[in-house]
Amino acid sequence: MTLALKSKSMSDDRTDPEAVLIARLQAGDDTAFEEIVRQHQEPLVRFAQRLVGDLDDASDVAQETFIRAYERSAEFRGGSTLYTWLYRIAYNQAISLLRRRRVRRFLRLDREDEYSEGVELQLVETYDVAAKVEEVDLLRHIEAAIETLPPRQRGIFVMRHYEGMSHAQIAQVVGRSEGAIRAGYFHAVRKLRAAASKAGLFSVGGEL
Amino acid sequence: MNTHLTDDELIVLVDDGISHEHLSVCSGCRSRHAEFAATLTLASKMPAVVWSPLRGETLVHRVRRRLRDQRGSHRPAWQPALGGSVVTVVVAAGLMFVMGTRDLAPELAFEVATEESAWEPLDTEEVVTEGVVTEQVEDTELAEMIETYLMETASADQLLLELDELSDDEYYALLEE
Repeated sequence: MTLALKSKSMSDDRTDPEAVLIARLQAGDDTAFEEIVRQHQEPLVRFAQRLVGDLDDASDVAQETFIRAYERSAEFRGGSTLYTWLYRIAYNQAISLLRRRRVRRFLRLDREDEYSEGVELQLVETYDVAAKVEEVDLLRHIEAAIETLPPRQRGIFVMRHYEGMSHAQIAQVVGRSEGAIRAGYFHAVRKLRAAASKAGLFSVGGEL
Repeated sequence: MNTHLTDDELIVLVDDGISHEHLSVCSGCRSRHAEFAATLTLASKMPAVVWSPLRGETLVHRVRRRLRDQRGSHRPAWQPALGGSVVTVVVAAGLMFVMGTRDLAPELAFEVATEESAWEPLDTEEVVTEGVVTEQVEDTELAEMIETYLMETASADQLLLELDELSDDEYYALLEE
């Protein structure tokens, strides 16, 4: 689950497989682009799904990410890893989708429980069937709490907690200061703790 | 050590998996630390998406098709005009060469000029006018949606806060959905 992002070394561009791949892409080699899609699709979809909840929406986010990456490939200068660059595009796509979704919900164009239904189905389908019923119920509460986080805060929490990125790496993706990322993360965790408390997680001793 | 640890400090301790001597002497901080730990442990148990090779191939196919469609539909507008002009010039040059006379030159010059007129940009006034009309229609639709919402709920401040966060692109993408 944890993903360690490499820091970019500028000295070994000729031997770095990623640099070679990008050079091929920028030279118009479409097979290089397809390699990139194949290499990065799974972690990107997983990341997007953590953000937007729905797998179909996550696939759309990933697709749009790759399209934009292709269109802007000439702009990639190697200042960050390809993965960080793709993350940045995917993050912006997902945040945009979340914002539109929130507004639509306020305008009552979407069903209120659309996201929760999807999460519940996923929990039932993939969660260990031997898990305690109470635990599954708590998971629903936590997922619902994550869903209520503001889009940017949610993005920060997902990158930090699920993708294992450092605050500095998240700052690079989001384009904000490291301090702002820390503050956003702490705020998100405090909210989740409050939600967990409300759901009764700590009434059984605070340990799962 | 009597100073309690802040929530942020406790979260860092949980995140980094390290302990703090204050936790051994303060039950309050120890309890809050345990709550943060339990919360994050629970969050870690959320199932990750199951990605199959079939889904992967589907995504590759969709990306490939989108790019192909884009290439097909985004043919630069100047290409047909350039093609037409080149054809006209070549035909004119050929005729002049075959007939060996200068009498045709004025007509051919007219023909080339007609083709070249395709290079001129579209009537910008018309385009701008159309853009304004479209924008006005979209604004009207959004205004109606907002008005409907405001009539049904009192949370106007929250809605305006949400709308304020949208960029122009997101604003119009919302309308297109």
